[in-house]
Amino acid sequence: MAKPVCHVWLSLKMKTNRQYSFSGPNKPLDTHPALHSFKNQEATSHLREKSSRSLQPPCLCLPSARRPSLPSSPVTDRRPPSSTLLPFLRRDARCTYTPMVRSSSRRSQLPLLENPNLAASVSKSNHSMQTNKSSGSTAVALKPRANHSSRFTNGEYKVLDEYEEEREKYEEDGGVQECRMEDSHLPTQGELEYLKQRKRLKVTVRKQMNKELGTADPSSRDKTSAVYRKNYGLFFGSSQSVIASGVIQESKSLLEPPILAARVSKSNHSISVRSVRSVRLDYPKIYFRIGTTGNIGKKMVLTSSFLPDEIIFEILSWLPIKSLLRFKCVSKMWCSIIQDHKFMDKHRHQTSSTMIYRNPIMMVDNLEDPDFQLVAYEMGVMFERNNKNGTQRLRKPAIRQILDLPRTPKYEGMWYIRATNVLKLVGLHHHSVVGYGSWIDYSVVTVDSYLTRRDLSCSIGFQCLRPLPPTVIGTMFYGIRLGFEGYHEIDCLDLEIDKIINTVKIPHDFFLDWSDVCPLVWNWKLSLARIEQEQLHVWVLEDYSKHKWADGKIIIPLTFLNGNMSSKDVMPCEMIGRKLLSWVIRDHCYRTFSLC
Amino acid sequence: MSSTEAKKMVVLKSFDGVTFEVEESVAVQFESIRHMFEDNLAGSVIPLSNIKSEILSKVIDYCKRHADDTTDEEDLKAFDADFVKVEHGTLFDIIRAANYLNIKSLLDLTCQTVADMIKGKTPAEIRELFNISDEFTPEEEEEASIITRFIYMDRYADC
Repeated sequence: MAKPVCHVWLSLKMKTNRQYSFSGPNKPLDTHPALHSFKNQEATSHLREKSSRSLQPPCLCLPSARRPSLPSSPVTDRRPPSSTLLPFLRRDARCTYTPMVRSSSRRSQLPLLENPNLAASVSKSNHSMQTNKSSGSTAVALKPRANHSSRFTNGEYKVLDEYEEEREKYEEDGGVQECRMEDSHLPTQGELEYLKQRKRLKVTVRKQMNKELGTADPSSRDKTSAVYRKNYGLFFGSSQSVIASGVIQESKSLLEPPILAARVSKSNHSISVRSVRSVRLDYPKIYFRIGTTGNIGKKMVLTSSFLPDEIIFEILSWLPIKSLLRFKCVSKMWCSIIQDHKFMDKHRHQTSSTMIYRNPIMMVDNLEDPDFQLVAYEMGVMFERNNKNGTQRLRKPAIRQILDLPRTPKYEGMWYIRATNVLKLVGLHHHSVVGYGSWIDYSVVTVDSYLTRRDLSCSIGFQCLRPLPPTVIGTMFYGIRLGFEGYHEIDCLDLEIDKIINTVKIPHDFFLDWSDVCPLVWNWKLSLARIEQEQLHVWVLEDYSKHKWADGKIIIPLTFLNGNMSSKDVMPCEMIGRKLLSWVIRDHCYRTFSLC
Repeated sequence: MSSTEAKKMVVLKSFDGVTFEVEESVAVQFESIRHMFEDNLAGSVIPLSNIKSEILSKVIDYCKRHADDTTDEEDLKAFDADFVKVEHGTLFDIIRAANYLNIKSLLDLTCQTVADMIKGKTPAEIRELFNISDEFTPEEEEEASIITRFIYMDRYADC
């Protein structure tokens, strides 16, 4: 019987996947829940105005007279408008928003919203006009996101992708004229007003925040903590400096004399130099600085308070987390050290005796949500599931990060892969397709133990009537599928490479009745077991790569079964030597039984 | 270790030209220059162009004390505590020397001291102390710190 078993294993990066919306550095502040608490009528009205306007054929280079009506807003189809931090995220917001409106008419199939890079690239093409206008600095602010094929020619971005034609179209649409209008670039009344308004907003935001943080009123604290609870994990990374520098550069470009700006925009060379510098600043990497300490060290070695980076590294590793978080804004160097994984590892090692790491539960206190139940705990990361509504999340209390996972698929567990130092979650998605029976997908989420890197890969289409509980031995994940008419298989998924490396067929005559069959770890090998008449019947998979099963069935009498405990009460899990680790259903716990 | 070996001397020369004679049993703690005197070069002078004489004498003092097996632990602790009670400049110099000579225990001791010292300070104080030029513009810092507060400060509002 030919089975439509598909072994395609798609490796989908997060950005192209529609189903999963992780919040990462690529989607910075606009999802911040705190944003919604801000009730600035003025700003909101601007938003509405702006959002309705941006549905027209977008020409981002507004005449300067209309400029003050900014800040513009990202009004996506899924998120409410965010007003609080608008001054900070204006640049970013536009990057992700504008292209979506345009392309939704033409290329609605493309998951543009989920693809910030692509979106940014498109918006850059929109931005080319504005780039001219507000001098090189706008280009600089955008440049860090340009990690794809684009080049800078004659003061304009050429985006070397399929959207180029659209950009040209907009050029014809009158962007050029408007750009010329901007040529005499003095800080106009409108621009100044705009800057002022932004400053006002900033002050209001800060007051609001201080108020929220400072109050001792429990209800408001709850509110605040709810806000933060939802928000951990959103900003880790460099998003803040991108925004900050973008905003600052823009204010400068508005205030600075235009001659400078014009000179910059005319010279390709100087722009590219500035862009490069900006990239460096926005994405500080620890390594290039550490690598160059030799030079710096020689020059400054005898000034009394200069310390090379590796010593800073040493010193910081002795600090408590509380201080580290505060010192992130000492300098970009310090910030990059503190966020570096090597540093975190060293820090954890050094401070392993402190409460924070030894006792993560202690740190939970006011973050604790009684609805969430701990499913797995590895490397300081807690995998939790809300049993009421099925929400799943990862939480690392020590660095106060939360990563929300989608509700489906239900992740079976979390495993630590030593070789690559990542955590893997495997979800089984069991679904039926009318006319095609019952199917199962595996999806593997990869996160590092600081919840900063996230990847997802999925398999599609394995026919399956009933999946058995998956088993992980070492780095091998075994998904056991029981199908129709004795067609049973085991998928061997190597978690190190996220790949199903083999699918082993299970002979249908192993058991007469497959109803209570369960996977059993038998001396580091997978086996299938079933309790029949107070005996444990075990088939061992000797070698999954050669599809080799043991020659015969192993039968062990379960002497511990008696009147108190019947075979229905125990579920064998693992065989260690002569001891059987079992899940006792009645007591809801694991117990070890000795077998003779 | 025989008595003749124990008295083998190593000569170190500091940045400002002062020479120090150190017993080899002490000098073995200087991981980074260890190979120089272990290769039968015991009699020659080892230049340490990065370290001032006053710092070097302190470091040698520390290593002597720690090489001495007879000192009991309590004394050693007291000595360490006293040893790091110096002004910041000197402490930083000692850290640099410890880093250069690769003396793990001294580096840990001094770094821990600095960490304890800076634990409660503000970023501005840190910049001053470490002579870090302000990479953030005031505006940038303000905004960065706002965002940082957003992320982290809910429960650390007091610090």
